[in-house]
Amino acid sequence: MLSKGSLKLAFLAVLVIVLIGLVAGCAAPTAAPPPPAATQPPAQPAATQPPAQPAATQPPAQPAATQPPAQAGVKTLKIITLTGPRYEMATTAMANAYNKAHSDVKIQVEAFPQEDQIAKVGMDVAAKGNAYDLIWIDYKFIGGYADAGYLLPMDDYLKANADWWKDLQGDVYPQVLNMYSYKDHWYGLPNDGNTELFYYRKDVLDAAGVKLPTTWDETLAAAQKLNNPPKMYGLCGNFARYWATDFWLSMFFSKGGVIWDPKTYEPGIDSAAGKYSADMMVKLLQYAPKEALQWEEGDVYSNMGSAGICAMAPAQWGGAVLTNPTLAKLADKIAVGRVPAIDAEGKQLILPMGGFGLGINAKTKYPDVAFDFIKYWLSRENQQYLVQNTGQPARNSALTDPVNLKIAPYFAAESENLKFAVPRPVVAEYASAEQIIGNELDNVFLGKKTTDQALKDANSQVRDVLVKSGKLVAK
Amino acid sequence: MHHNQIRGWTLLSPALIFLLALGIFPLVYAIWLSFHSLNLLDPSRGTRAVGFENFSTILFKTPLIGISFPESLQITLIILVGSLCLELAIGLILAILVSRTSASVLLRMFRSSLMVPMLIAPAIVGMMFRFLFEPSFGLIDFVLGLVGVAPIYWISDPNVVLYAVILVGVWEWLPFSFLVFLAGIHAIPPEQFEAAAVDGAGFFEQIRYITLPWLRNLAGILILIRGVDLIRNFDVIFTLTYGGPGRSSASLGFSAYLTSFKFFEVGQGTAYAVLILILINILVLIFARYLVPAREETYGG
Repeated sequence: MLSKGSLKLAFLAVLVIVLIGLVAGCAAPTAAPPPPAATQPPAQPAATQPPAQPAATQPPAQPAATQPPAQAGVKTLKIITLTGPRYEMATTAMANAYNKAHSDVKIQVEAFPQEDQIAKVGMDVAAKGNAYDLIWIDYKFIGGYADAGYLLPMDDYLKANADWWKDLQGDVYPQVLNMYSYKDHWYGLPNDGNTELFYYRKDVLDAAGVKLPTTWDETLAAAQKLNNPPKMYGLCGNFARYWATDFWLSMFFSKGGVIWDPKTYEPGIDSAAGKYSADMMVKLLQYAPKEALQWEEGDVYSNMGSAGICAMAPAQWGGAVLTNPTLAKLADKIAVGRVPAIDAEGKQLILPMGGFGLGINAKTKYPDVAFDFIKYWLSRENQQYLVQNTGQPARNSALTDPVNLKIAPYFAAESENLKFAVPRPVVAEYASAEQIIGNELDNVFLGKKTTDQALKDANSQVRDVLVKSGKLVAK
Repeated sequence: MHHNQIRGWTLLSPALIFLLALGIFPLVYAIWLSFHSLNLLDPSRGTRAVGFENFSTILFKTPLIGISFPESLQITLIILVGSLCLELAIGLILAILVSRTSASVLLRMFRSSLMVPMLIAPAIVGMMFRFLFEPSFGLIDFVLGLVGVAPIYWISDPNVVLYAVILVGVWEWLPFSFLVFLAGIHAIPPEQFEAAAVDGAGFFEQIRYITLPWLRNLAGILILIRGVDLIRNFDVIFTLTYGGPGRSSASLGFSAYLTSFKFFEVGQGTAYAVLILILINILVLIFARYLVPAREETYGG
């Protein structure tokens, strides 16, 4: 048996351990993960002021002045990404390859579903923390995070790597690249390019003698002709929630609509373009399965790619699933083309831009390594490796590379459709706007509201969001 | 302070620290946050005090999520009442029938198999039923089709979706009420049934006058546990219906999620959570007062 004294001592020890643990836990969000003492950066970290010298491009074996000596220990950097083949698997592959090539660097990957990832990064931004060194970032957050001082401007690194930067600028569509520029600074670089594509069952269209529709009116007519439920529906798409907004946008933008005026922020949802797009979706929905009211991306994949009940998915976000035989049973029967335009000449075609970029936390202890990793990811010579590992590149040369096209045949259509893509509004409020529009479109599809009423309500709610954020003055 | 008191506090302190850090502090912080505005999409705006604005928006206006608090509450109560009635009624009937059957190997296997749904994570249950409910290739509509029933759009028809949510909940949690009732029935002294039989009481009279009074307490506890669980209901709705179609199945828990993690209005989302907490506490008080009576009132026999 323990004596009273030793019992007291034991409990005191437990108490001290618990307290230390709690204090350490509380301190974690604002302090960097404690690497060995030898790897601590200099007292005046240069994180927010990248060196003018091209040290960033040097492999870490020749460390830059701002970094601790290579032999002092391994530099550990965390990258936060999204779950899923296109994101997590690609990030892990690139991180592993980089780590292999740089014995003194360890890039650790943390992947979360999109909402969780946004929340985690948002919390880090709010706490002015440095939980992550590299951030997989949706372009709409660039402005908010940059204003909060969370993202490192990459301008000096780009100047120092002028040749590489020039090559990238020439190989990525300007509208894709420019999404990562904010207030004349570069806060990210696109590592993943995307827009909407037209997936269709070539065998079904051929058998019915239907040519690939090039306008929305033709799409509606084709859907009517191909519709033979429950075996085959004329059309599939995302009609649920914010996914419905993405579908609607491909018509709305093409018809000249704007979510809000870029200068005044006055919403333009309740407009002729908005009404045309919502009404067209209602008409198209007649030839889609009723359950499509609850469909998002994954449901279209399973119903078109494996169950085989959809003839066309005319405005679907680009992705490998439907054309990859290991992911979709009917992949060999599915072809990819250009999203329909409003007019027959294809002049009225503007698509919403997707894709992602990589940003650097301004508080990272290793900004040079972080930039070097981004450079490694985006380098021309590493794009085939990226594609082999389920990545979706932003570089046009990679999207049209015959080697890559064998792995991902839809890249050709991706490259073609990207020509017509424009960014969705590059402010954080858009994330709320797409939810609001999606919900109001659902109300139209469910017959709860007329198109006019739903668009009016969406306009008013989006206005409230903009007023609350201070971008618009209340009427 | 007395030596024993010091020792007592020392012994208590690890638990107290954990309680403070993981229970009290988050609660206090959540209450504090519910009076503030914080949007994670634009953290540069920071956190600012807004008084009761979050609560008034939730309670008296239609928030950005597109469904009002009363509408969400109504959805939650429909799921709560529907699930509880079915779970308790079917669980009780099954428990009575099984308790009256001799304990064969088959019966033991049946009891064990009844446990399976309860062992599956609710999120998995939701995903599983999402496939089962598919009108095009789902098993449920296929089987119903064999007997001539037209396809039912379980999760895409706003008039049907709540039945689907209730059915999934009942499928998963029926074993819980069944097992609790069965244990309760086994705890009844057999002499009471024997004496009742001697007095000429039939099957239904024995249930009416012996079984049900004995199970009253347990039913109260079941209602309390499942009631709280159903008010917080989130995971099945998240994976099965995502609150849709539209917002037709957006329960309170899901609406709080939408506010915090779709619109990233963390302050308003926390206010939602605080309201749910208050509601749960009120219901617990009511349940505890009327459904779980004091010991001396119950074991009448």
